[in-house]
Amino acid sequence: MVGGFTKSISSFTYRTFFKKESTYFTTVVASGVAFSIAFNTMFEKYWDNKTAGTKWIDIKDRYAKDSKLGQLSSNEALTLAGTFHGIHVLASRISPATKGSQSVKDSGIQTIDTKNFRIHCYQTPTGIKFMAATDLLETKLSDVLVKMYGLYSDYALKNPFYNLEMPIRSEMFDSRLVQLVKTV
Amino acid sequence: MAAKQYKAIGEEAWKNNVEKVNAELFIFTYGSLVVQLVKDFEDYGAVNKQLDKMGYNIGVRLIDDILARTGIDKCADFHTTAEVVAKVGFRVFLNIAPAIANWSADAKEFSLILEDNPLNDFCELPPKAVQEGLWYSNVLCGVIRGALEMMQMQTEVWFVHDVLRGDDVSEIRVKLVKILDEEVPVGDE
Repeated sequence: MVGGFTKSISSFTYRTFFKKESTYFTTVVASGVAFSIAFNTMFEKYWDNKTAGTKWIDIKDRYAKDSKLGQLSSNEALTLAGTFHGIHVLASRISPATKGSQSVKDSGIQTIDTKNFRIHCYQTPTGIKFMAATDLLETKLSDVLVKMYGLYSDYALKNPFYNLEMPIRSEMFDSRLVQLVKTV
Repeated sequence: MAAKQYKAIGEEAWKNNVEKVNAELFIFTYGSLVVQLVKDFEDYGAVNKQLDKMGYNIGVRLIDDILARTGIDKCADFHTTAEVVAKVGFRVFLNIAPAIANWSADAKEFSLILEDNPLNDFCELPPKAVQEGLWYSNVLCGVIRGALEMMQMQTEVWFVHDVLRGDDVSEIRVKLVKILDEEVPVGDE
């Protein structure tokens, strides 16, 4: 009985799929496609499970904010710094403010406003400038920039291999900086 | 009034914002550094110079540290500078507060009197070193020079007396050479 049933199934299979060249070919292609889809789906599932938490889609939120910061390349940053330094000095020279009869030397530009955002600048007494671009709601950022100064002194200056007035390439500094910026 | 204020800032920073290291470790490290220099150079003058250079490199970095911690603004005159160096700088990094004395008439030179110099602890100079003029703590001079240079003040700093050489007190002399003006970008008029 069982043998007869198997036989009838196999003969049915033979008749419908393999007897004619055209159906045979279609069967091979269709089953190939079906297998590859099934294999891909299963493997992707397995891979997702295996690498959960480390893929871009999972950590995107952590970095989405940073990418909004409009990262400048080192060259652009240098150009910005150079240009800004020029107008900063210029601004401190043309200050019309006076105290008594003496003109007061100004400390230079602190913020620059555009229609959509604001650039903040904090200059330390040693002449280092910290700059940040924010939206217009941020009015007083100097305390954050002062904290940045602290980070600079801790993670850049205290690193014996850091050369003064060179770009800071320190992972610790970067990660602390990102931390700090996130708290704002 | 102002003096008191800086003293308070120094105390405050020392108490709250500074990570401390073991004093003996610090002293021994410095001591072995000096001894190694003496061995390497075999000339006390060169050692003094080297210590000063090291101090300078430390100073140009430390200045930002102290400014970031205390938020002190630019000093109005050299008197205030002296106050800050003594009351804030020395307090924060060495926990001592040297007295300021012996101002020159034109107010461009002053002395820092260190009654107690932690670097000197446990140290006795051999007679030869005294004779040939080793300033054991010369690194301090370099630090002051480097720090002030970052504040646009070119200075000369040197030891006048040192307890280790048999004097009653240690005295560091600071002389303002000139105030460096901030460099202005040239051109585009």
